[in-house]
Amino acid sequence: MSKSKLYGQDRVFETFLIILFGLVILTIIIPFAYLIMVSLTNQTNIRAFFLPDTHITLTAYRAVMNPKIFTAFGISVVRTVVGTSANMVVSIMFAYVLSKRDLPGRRGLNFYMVFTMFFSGGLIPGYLLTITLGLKNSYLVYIIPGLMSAYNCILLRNAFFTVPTAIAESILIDGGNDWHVLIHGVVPLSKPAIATIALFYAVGHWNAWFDAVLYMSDSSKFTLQVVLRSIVYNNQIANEMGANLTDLQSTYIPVESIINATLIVTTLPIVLVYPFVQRYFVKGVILGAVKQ
Amino acid sequence: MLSATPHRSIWRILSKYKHVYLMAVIPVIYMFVFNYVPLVGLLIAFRKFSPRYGVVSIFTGQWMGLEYFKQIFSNYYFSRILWNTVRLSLLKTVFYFPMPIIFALFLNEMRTIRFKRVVQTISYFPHFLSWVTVAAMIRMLLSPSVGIINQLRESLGLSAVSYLTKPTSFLATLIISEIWKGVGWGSIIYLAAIAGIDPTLYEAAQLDGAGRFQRIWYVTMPGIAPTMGVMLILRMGTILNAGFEQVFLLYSTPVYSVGDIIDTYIFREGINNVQYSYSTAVGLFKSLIGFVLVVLSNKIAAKFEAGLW
Repeated sequence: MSKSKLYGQDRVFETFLIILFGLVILTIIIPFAYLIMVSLTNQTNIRAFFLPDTHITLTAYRAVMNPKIFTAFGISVVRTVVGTSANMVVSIMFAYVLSKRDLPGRRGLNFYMVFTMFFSGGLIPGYLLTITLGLKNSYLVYIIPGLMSAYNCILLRNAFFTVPTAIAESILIDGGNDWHVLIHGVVPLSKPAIATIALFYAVGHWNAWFDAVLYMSDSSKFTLQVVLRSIVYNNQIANEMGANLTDLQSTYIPVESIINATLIVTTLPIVLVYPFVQRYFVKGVILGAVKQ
Repeated sequence: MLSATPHRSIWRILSKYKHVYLMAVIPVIYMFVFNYVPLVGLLIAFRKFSPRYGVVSIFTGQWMGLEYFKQIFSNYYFSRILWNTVRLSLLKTVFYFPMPIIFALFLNEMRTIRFKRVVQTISYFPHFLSWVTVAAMIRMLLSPSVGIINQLRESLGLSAVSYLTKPTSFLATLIISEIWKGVGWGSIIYLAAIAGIDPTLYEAAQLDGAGRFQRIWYVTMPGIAPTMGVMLILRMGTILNAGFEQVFLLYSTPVYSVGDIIDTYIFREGINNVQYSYSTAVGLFKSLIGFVLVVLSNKIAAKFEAGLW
């Protein structure tokens, strides 16, 4: 790809684009910068950031590192790992089934799945069902009700379509069965799509909060997002967290500082994982979206 | 009719694919339990739910017919809720829908590859945040007392505004935050579509003397028109989904007049007030309309040769 210089009109336009998109990414960066500054300085006033006697302190973060947050953090991590693994196993299996064009009944299975994307019982029947299945207040409610997403399965199926049938044939001829084809043939060749879908599921689990609100009566089983939500809605909880720092009882930590610190802690894992998976998903989304 | 080729009996075929069918077992059972069984639960909209008998009332409760549906229409608040839902959804569609397209069109024109990548990476990021996180950010930024926006207002001599408790600014906040969160990610599919346009078309246009914007209008736009069509159809089908999570996390009683949508209403009536039958009826009503809209919009799209099937 040749790097040609831009001249005249094109150069002006390019400058305009850079400024335009520079502003766009500033709208994303500035709010985070502000929140981080508040959590690090315990000041909510912007002017205070520039005053000489405003220091960076980690007191808000220390207040946030309490058992309640640790527990919720741990629950979120376990939920994400276990949940995503379960999601992927089930989705990959069914995507493989749907990708075998010569399978009798495949169209029926396809329809069976697509139908669920358009018709559902809604909130209340789903709620009643989950309760009846005994999942109320159980950790399983984080894994089982959302076991497979039809949309993600379709993306995987489309990705599997692009795997040459010669692969399956050669494995079957060598005496393997479809499990071998799936595990040794199809999956290794579909890494971008699989990484993308795994990311989708993982983010879904990490960000989930509504199911905990609906089904968990025991607050010690809450995920991190739910705790964050309760802190935002109930300043009392945040104040308690601030007061629990026994060695700093004289220091007042504003509620906003604690909320922001919790927010940063909740978002940090995504920020850390994001760069590594980022390069996969444009490929993966395109692969999934392009129909064969 | 006797099969003339017993080798191709159904058992032979099934056993050839036995592993494949085995793989399908768990997903099929899962979808049956969690997607199809609740459809039966919809019956609760036609029967009186009895707390004493619980879920069994789906089958045994007193038959109420369309009673709950009549209640929907006679409910003073319902027209407000329906209108809130449609209005919010339409506003979001009008303001949000073009954004990823414009974003993709302009970003595609950028020649500085490095910066382009940076923009893409950063702009995709808000999509991965939960609404809990974004709602918390919004509350922090818009807070009348400590929010950065109001601090700026006060330094300019203006008075602080409580954005989340005034109906108009509440709606604006919903729309703007939706755009902020989704525009980067939403542009991916359009960038992919643009990448798929035949480059020779651009060359031909340039030879005919087309300037940059003319090239966009005459080559790029028609090229992504099918993608836009599909996205718009999908949007039409979900018009009654105005964004439950976002609204639920940001609304409050002062803005119920514009912010209470069908889904938040179903949640309050159904879960908080335990009106299972009534709220299921509302949900069913919403699904029926959604279904009609999907079919309708697809028929319209078929006329323009775009479509889901």
